[in-house]
Amino acid sequence: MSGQPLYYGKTLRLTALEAEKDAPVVAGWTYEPETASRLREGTVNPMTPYEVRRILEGWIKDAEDNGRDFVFGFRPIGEERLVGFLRFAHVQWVHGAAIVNLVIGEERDWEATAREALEMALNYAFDELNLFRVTMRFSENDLAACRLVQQANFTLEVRQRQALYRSGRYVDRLSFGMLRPEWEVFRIQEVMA
Amino acid sequence: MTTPALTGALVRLTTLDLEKDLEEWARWMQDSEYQRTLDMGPSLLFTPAAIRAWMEKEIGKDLCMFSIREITEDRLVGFIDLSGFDWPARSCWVGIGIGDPRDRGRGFGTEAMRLAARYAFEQLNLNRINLNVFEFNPGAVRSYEKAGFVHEGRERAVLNRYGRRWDMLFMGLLRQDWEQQRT
Repeated sequence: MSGQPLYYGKTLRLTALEAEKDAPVVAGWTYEPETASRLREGTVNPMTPYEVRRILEGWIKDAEDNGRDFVFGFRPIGEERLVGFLRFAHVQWVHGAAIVNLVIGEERDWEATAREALEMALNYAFDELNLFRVTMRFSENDLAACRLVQQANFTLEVRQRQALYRSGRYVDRLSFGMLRPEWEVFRIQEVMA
Repeated sequence: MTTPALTGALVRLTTLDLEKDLEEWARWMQDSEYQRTLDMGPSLLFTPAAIRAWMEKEIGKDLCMFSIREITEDRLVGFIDLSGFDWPARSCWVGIGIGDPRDRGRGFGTEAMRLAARYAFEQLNLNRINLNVFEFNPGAVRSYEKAGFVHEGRERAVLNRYGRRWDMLFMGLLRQDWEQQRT
C-alpha cells in the first residue's frame, strides 16, 4: 500500500519547527497586522524573538505531550528558510474535527505557495488524522486567505460580527468549513487538473 | 458578594463559594447529559477538590466566574462565566450551565444571561459577547434568543454525538444590539 507523500509537495516540504532557529523569522511576521492575526486567536502584537521562541517551544512541547496538538513548519524543498507553519491545535478526536491554522509569512511566498500549503494541510488532516471536518477562521479583512479557501471550495459558515479590531475598526471573523465528502471531491479535482 | 446590578427578579449572580459550590458542581457533572450538552470534549468526572484546584488557577486570569443563585431560597442553580477576553476587540465568550434538569426551562438561564450581558457592557465596557451552542440543545438556543443574542451561522456537522452529527451554532450580542433592545 502506498499513499500520497505527506511531507513533500511540488515546491514545499513539511518539517519540524525549530524554536530557536525559527523564532526570529516568525517574530518578523508579527509586525504585519494581517499576518500577525493569523498566528493565533485574538490580537497579536509585535513580538521579540524571545517571546516567539517561548510560544514555539510551548507548541512543540504540547505536540509532543498531549496527542492532540500538531505543528509543522513549511520550508521550500532544498532550502532551510521557514516560509510558514501549520498547526492543528486541540484536535477533537471524538468528533473527528480540528481547527487548521495555516500561516505563510511573506506576501511573495503566499502568492507562490499558499494553495500548495493548503493542499498539504488538508492531506494531513483527512488522510493522516482521518478527520471528518476542518475549520479555518479568518478576519474578513484577510482577503487573501478568504479567497484561498473559497477557491478550494470551503463553505463560509459563520460571521461573528465585529469580533476583531484591525487598523482602527471592528471587522467580522469568518469561519469556513470543509467536510470529508467535500474534500474527496476537491482531491479528485486536484488529481484531474 | 453581590451588587444590585447582578440581581434580577428570579436569580442573582454571586462570586463562587469555592468550599460549598463545587460540591454541587461535582454532583451536576455526574449527570452525563449535563456534560454532553455543556462541553465538546469527552465527558470526564472530577472530585470537588480537583475542580477547585483548576478553578483557583483560572479565576481572575482570563475567567470571570459567577454562581447563579435562585432568589427565594438563595439556592445554587448553575454557573455563568465570561472568558477569552480580547481587550483590543472588547469581546469575550460567555458560558452557562444550569445543573439540575428540574431548574431548566424556568427562566433562570435567560435572566442570568441578561445580567451577565449587562455586566459585560456596563462594567467591563465590552463591545461584543460570543457564544456557541450545540444544535441538539434547542432550549438553550431559545433562551439565548430571548436574552437578545443574534444567530451568526453554524459550523456544520462538527459534533459527533448520540450516533449522528450535529452543527455548532454561533451567536453574538453586540453593544449596539443590546442598546437597541433596551429602548
